[in-house]
Amino acid sequence: MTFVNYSARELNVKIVYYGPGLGGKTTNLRHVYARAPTRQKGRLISLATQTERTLFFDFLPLNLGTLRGFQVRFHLYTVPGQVFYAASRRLILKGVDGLVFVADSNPLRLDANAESWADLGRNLAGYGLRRDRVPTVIQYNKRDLEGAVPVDGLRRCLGSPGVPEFEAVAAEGRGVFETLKGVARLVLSNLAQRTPGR
Amino acid sequence: MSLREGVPQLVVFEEEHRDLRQILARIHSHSRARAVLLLDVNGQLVAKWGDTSGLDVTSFCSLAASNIAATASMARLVGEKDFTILFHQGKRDSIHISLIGDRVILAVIFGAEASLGMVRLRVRRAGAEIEAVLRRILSRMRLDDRLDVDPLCDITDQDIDELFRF
Ligand SMILES: Nc1nc2c(ncn2[C@@H]2O[C@H](COP(=O)(O)OP(=O)(O)OP(=O)(O)O)[C@@H](O)[C@H]2O)c(=O)[nH]1
Ligand SMILES: [Mg+2]
Repeated sequence: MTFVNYSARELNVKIVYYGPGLGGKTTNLRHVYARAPTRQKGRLISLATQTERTLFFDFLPLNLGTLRGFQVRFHLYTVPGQVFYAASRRLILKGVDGLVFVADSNPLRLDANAESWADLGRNLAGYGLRRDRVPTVIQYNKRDLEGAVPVDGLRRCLGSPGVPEFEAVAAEGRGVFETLKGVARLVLSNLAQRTPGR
Repeated sequence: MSLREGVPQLVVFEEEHRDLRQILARIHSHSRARAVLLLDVNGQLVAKWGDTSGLDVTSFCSLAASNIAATASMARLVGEKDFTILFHQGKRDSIHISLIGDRVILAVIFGAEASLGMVRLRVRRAGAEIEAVLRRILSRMRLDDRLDVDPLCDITDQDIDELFRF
């Protein structure tokens, strides 16, 4: 979290979308980009492979206007979900203010979800962060899939972390903004308790 | 997620912001650069000086910070502590990006009217000045209680809805 020029009360928030490969992280950002009005969004930058898999990150800046006298800016990032890209995934996590974990409802991806969740915990620890202190929401994506794992099962495979949850079909834009608002609310309301000087 | 837990968090107050801008202005005029940007290691702009028209500053900062982060990781892989400077030369414009301390990054964009040598020299000198301002910022962050975020204490769903009116 960065306040730049305190008198101008600009508040910059970094949100990271984390989760297994092909879970729908990039799809979330694309939908937000498509829906946000031109004057409130910057460019959507995607550093991707030729097959559209995230290679380093996607980045979307949003200028959300003012909230109780604060100019609020959100920087949304996705990490590459593929196991192979562990090093760059770790880098993107640095300085994170809020997390969206995008879980895949595909039954074949249960292990991948669990593995990615564990990987997230290790990477946070690597930055000296306790998982329960970083505002986090979970998105159960691809609810449209035939044979989608019941939410209960997905929750259990992540160890029932007790954070806000949202069901989504990111490919159709369903649940995307609910998720983003969910993490925004957590991050902003947590801010007061963890401000230096208090 | 307080400072104690090691999250890089920067609160730049008005006075220090002005000082930083002055440092950037000096680099700009002495090295005849096109633009000078100061960002935090997470890619958020802290201050800028010069001509940034036609430059997508937000994207630039995010990419510059990621680039520095990736390079630092590569450095560790080959057993170096850090590669703290990146330089990319283009046909018309060049960019010089350097890590200052462990919290901020200085990016200088310059054309043919500037020389790399001069940019290097000015960046090196400014580095110490910027670090001094940062130290002031950090000690102030520890002491200063003016960070009044109370208005954010009781955020409602309606507030959030208003932020995301789209
Ligand atoms: N059926 C279905 N498919 C989806 C949904 N959301 C995304 N997809 C598809 O899943 C595939 C992968 O989506 P991405 O957004 O690229 O996944 P990612 O998490 O960014 O993947 P990596 O970049 O490799 O980490 C694409 O073909 C999407 O169209 C959904 O809600 N339902
Ligand atoms: Mg992706």
